[in-house]
Formats: sequence, structure tokens, C-alpha cells
Amino acid sequence: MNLSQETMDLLTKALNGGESGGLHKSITTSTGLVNYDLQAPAKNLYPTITLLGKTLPRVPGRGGIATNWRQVSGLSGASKMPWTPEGKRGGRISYTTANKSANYVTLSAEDNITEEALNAGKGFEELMSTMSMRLLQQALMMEEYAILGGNATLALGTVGTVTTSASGTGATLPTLTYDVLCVALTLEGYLAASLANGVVQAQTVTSADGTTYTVNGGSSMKSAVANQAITLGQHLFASVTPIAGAVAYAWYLGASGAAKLEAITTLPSLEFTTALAGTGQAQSAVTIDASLNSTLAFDGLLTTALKGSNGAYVKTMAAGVAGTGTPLTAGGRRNVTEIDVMLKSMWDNYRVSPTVIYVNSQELQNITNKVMNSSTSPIFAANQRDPYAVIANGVVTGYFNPFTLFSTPVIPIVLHPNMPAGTILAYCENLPAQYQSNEVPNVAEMHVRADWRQTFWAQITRTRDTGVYVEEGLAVYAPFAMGVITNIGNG
Amino acid sequence: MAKDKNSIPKAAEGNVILLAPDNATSCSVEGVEYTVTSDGFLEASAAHAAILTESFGYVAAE
Repeated sequence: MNLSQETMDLLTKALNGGESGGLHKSITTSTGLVNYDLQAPAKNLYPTITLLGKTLPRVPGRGGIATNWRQVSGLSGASKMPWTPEGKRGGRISYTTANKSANYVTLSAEDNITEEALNAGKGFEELMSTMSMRLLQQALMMEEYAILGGNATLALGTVGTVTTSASGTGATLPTLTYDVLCVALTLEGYLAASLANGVVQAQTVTSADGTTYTVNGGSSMKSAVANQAITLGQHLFASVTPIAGAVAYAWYLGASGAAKLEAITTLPSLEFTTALAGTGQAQSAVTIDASLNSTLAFDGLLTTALKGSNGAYVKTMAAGVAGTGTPLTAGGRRNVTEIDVMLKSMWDNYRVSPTVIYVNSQELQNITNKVMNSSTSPIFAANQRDPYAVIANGVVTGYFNPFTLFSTPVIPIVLHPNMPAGTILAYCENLPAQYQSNEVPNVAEMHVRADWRQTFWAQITRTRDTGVYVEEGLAVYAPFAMGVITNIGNG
Repeated sequence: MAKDKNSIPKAAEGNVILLAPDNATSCSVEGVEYTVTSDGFLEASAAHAAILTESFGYVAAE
């Protein structure tokens, strides 16, 4: 067969890529004829920490809208002295009793998946299963928030008058007379708030069934406006009286009538030295006390402890210097004075000793710094395997409790991811042996009317809906077996 | 901050004379606004003085 010159020219042009460039003389990875090495399934790179949820005893409920109990919290004789004359009888004893209850509430999380997503995921993940797993993990993490910081009864109210002052040099806050306002936050409010998105007030939730309901976001009503004149270079200081139940405070600063959220602190005070960002939530967004959910929630352990009326030990650290606060105090013998005072008080008043202390990373670091520093006697940990390999650093993992009877005196100090900086919670998980015949060895129990379960809702669209639900109430029998130290300065 | 004792002004009954921290000009306590004098003094009620000394760097001048 003879090829014409015209045919040869066309072939040569095609082999060189042609006009469209679609033909190549060789194949490289850029040609695109390569496999896609997708590792299945997806990597779940998020922590799921549910310390309280895993350790709190879960007790089946017995229907009803609440679990109820009666407590006998004290016995007293007619006299402290039992001496009885010959032939006579003594006085009768008396009791201190009370009726108690814990409401059942519902916690839930919802999700859905389209038919297309379900089919597209084949070979990668069994999406119905992994969706359910992640849904339950998220629900359990939200339950962990609730067990610690749920708030049904402790209203923050309105923050008191803000005290302000201007002094010092070197700051970059421009010359102006500033409005200063403050909003107090519960633990739920603190975890929900951010400088970018503001504090959460009453929020309308559109449920998966299309209805709506309102959940309060854990924020108080704002304070009245305080005015503070600043000359460039001065620091702006502000403080408020601490509010029982608040673990953080949001600060709104700005020109007259235009204050915006500029700082969130875990102290009831502030030192502000920089120019305003001016991009935060306007103070006008805060219109109500949205600190609790009286019918939707239960009181968590921290909330229960922070209520002043139930016997829990609560220490609010002194105000200290605005913006700095008052840190814990080193006792000088590898102890922390405020923790010792708490343990002694719990023993003196109720004969209980905590079995765990939950802390934020800030407090763990500060407690460690109190205990292990150059002014305390050195701690040398010999490395048995290599005596010349000295391991740097150290951490306090437990606290020796001198005020205890029978039980082990070392209290583990445990990092809890939801504990706020500036607050520590000491918790006695079980009533000690001296609480004889108490009929409930646990200080708190989760009473469960209907335990975590998953519902696959009837499919009426090409989306499959599912949710996980629990109906439970947190029964805290012995709130006096908890202690809180709050408003701790970072230092 | 050290001042001549003779230069400390006399406080009204129930009030306290405070020496302000460096470069302080004014403050507001429970809605009451105070101005620091050019000599660095401030006269406040005893209750307000307690707040100012604990948290805002003021010290009793007397």
C-alpha cells in the first residue's frame, strides 16, 4: 500500500499532538491514566471523651415524669449529752428530712442521608452504620456537657454595675470615652460563646420534624453601661461582682451606644490594652437572662455544686487585680492552700472526702507549678534503665488528702475537656463507709427512663432520617459531697 | 508614688484618700465616677476605696 505525502503529513501531525493536543507519543502520570488510592473508610479524627458519662451509674427508671426520693440528712438527740438519771428515760431523737426529685428530660441528636449519598458511598463506608456511630458519639459528648454543666434552676440574672478604671502606660487603646458592659456565662454559655459568633441567648431550634422550639444559651442579662475615659496609652480595667453559677464573663466595649463583644474571660474582671477589633457581637443582641432551661434540662454536677443552698463547698477566689485575679496559693510543702481548705471543710462539715478532682489544663499546669518549682524541695526521678537519661518535666497526678477515714487518701487529679479554666471540681463518687445503711452508695446517679436508642424514621422522601434519644434525669443525692473553687486566676 | 505626707488632702467624713496608680485619670465604681487630681489623689467612699485598692492598683494615702 502506498501512502500519499498528504497522508504521511497528517499522521506526523497527529503523533505530535495534532490540533487538539489529544494524542501523545508517551504516557506519564499527568496523562491521567492512574488509579485513585482512596483509603476507606474515612478517618475519624476527633476526640470522644465521656468521662462522667462512663463513670456515673445508670439506673433504670420506673416511668413517671421524675424520680423521687426522700432523704434523712441528720439525726439529733434531745441533747448532745446522753446522761440519764436512774429510773428515767431519755429524750427522743429528731430527724432532718426532705423530699427530693430529679426530672426526666430528653436529650437527642439527629441526622439524615440521601439515597444518592448512600449509594455513592458504597465501597467506601457503610454509611448507615458510620452515620449512626458518629451520631451516637456526638450525642454522648453532648450528654457529657449536660452532666457537668446542664442548668435548669440556677439563674444568673443581671450582671451588677461594672467598675472601671484607667491607668498605666504603653497600651494602644485609642483615646475615647468607652461604654463597658458585661454578660455572665454559665458553663454551657461559655462553651457556646466565641468572639467570632458572640454569646448565645435564646435560640430557636428548627427540629428535624420541622417544628421549632427555644433553647437558652447560658448567658445572663447584660449589665448597665459604665463609661470610662481613656487616653492613648492607658489600660482599661473593669470588674464586676462574681455571680454564683457563672464560670466566664463576656465583655462589650466601644464608643457610646456602639459597644461590641471584645473579650471573654474566666474571671469577673478584665484588663484591655489593644485597639478594639470592632467586629464582635453588638451589646444590643443581649436582651434577656437566658442562663437556664427550666423545663428542658437537668442541673449538671457543676451547676448543682455552684448552687449555694445545697451544702456543696464553694470557694470564690478574691477579686484580686482586675484582669489577673487571685491564683491558687502554694502552701510551701507541695500542697495548695485552697485545696487543703476545701478538703478540710468537706471533712469537718460532712465527713466526706473527694475521690476525684476535675480540672482544666490551665489549673493542672498551675497546680503543678505550685508543687514543683525551684522553691520546693527537688523531685528527682531516677531513670532505672538509663541513669544518664534525665526525663524533663513532671505533672501532679494526685493530691494527698489528709482528711479521710478508711479510704485511700490520694485523690486523682483528672483533666476534663469541658472544665473551664479558673474552676476546679472535687467530687466524691461514692459515699464513704461512715455513711452506713445509706441505701444509695452513689453520690449521684443517672436515672434512665429510656436509655440511648436509635430510631429510624419512616421514609417519606428519598432521604433517610434517624435520631438517637435518651430520657434521663441526674439525681444528685449528696451535693455536699462536691466542692468547687472558682474565679481562680491564671498563675 | 511616694508623696509628701503634708501634701495629702483631708478626706471628708467616711471617705478615704487614695493614691492612684501611675497615669491614672479616672474610674467608675458602682456608677459613681471619680477623677484623679493632678497630684495623683482620689477621694472615695470607704466601700469604693476597698474595691479600688483590691483590684485597680490604688493604695491608701494616709
